[in-house]
Amino acid sequence: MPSAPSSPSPPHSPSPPDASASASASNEPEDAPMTLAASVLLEALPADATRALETAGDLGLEKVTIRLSPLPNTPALRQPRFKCLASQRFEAIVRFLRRKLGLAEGEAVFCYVNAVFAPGLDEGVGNLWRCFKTGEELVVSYGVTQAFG
Amino acid sequence: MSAHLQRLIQTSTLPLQITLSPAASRSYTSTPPYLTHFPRLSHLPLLLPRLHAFFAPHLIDPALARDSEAWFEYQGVVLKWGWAVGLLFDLHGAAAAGVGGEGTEGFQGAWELTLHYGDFPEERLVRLDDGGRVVWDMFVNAVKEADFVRNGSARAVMGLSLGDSEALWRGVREHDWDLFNSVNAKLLAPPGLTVKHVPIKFYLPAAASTASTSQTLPEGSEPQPGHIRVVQALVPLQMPSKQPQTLGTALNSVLPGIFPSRRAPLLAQPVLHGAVVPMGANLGELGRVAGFADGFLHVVVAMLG
Repeated sequence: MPSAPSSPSPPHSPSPPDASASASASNEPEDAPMTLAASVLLEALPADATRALETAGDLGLEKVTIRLSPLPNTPALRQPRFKCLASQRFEAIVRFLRRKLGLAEGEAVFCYVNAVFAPGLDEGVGNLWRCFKTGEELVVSYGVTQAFG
Repeated sequence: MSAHLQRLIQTSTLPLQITLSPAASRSYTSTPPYLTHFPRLSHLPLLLPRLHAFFAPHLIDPALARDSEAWFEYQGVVLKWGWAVGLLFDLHGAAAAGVGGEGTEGFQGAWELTLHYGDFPEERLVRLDDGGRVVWDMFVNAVKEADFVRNGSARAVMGLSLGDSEALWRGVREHDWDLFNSVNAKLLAPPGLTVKHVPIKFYLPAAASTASTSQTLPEGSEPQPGHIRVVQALVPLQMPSKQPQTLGTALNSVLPGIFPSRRAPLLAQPVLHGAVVPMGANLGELGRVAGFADGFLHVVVAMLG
């Protein structure tokens, strides 16, 4: 398979074109809603099960450290490290990066975990940090190219 | 046995009944639905070409009959492109069918989905392109992620020849599982690499709001839709005691509050491909036999009532 950073294809992590999306970023993104039918079943559960579900698999850390590492021909950031809520989605990192790079709406940025794969924008930051961290940091490589195609 | 199980999983299909959104239809609700059996392991974008051809004559604006304008909905839930259709059903459809974890066994009719054209829910879904690039890219990146979990690098997937990586995707696209398996075997047991972890993600139901909010709601208020939480952790093939990891030991270590026992499903049970999986199942073997096309075990946590 083509290696991610040199891949000519646009990965699926270009940030949302609409910068106003950042306003809707919350601590608990409910991006994968359930049907009402399933929700009603959930409400019938005993209280202790409901409580267990709220925290099951949590990282136990509110925030994790992200290090943003530029790929060739891409500007570095003065502050490459930042703290991100573990409960946010990968999208939040992409949005942060776009703001720091001052990218306009049509300009793309491609982000890869460990310079290998582009996570889905909806993947949880806490999950990615837990599985793919280097030391205590999640390393996200990024490259800026002209939007094409 | 394991080859038989793998074959069973890969050839398993779901009956789908796809209805055109009345808002996009020239005849409102009288457009005939599209009925099909679709592989559980496949993804909804791969069904779109057939649906465009079927529904285009019924659209108010036939120019919208393309991937970049299409999206699926089930009972108000926008369906993700990146999740296999079998996973989507086990998460959303099985609950409504009243089978809670029993998968398709009690499922009489087809799963009824609505296909929309236009009015794209930008905030909730990645828009496809018309060249199939986005869906290919999602697949390739998920395969790389799974490979990184297995080996601590993506060397196995990066080492595939161009022909092999094309064959892997063609196998998925055309539901040619023999072709897919011929390449996927090189990822599951990469020569010269030691597989350390099993790619696995857990899908849990979560209530709509925190307890503090629900306490302020009056009795008998409308139920609020909950959401699905995905939990991912590195699960080694072996326990620290060198015992092989089972699904039960994995669930107990990652989700101890939901699976307080390693052997007995007390509060919830694990569901894969519509079936409840025994807690004692060997996780390494499950990973080789029961993985989704991207290499992950996508395990639905079904709560016991």
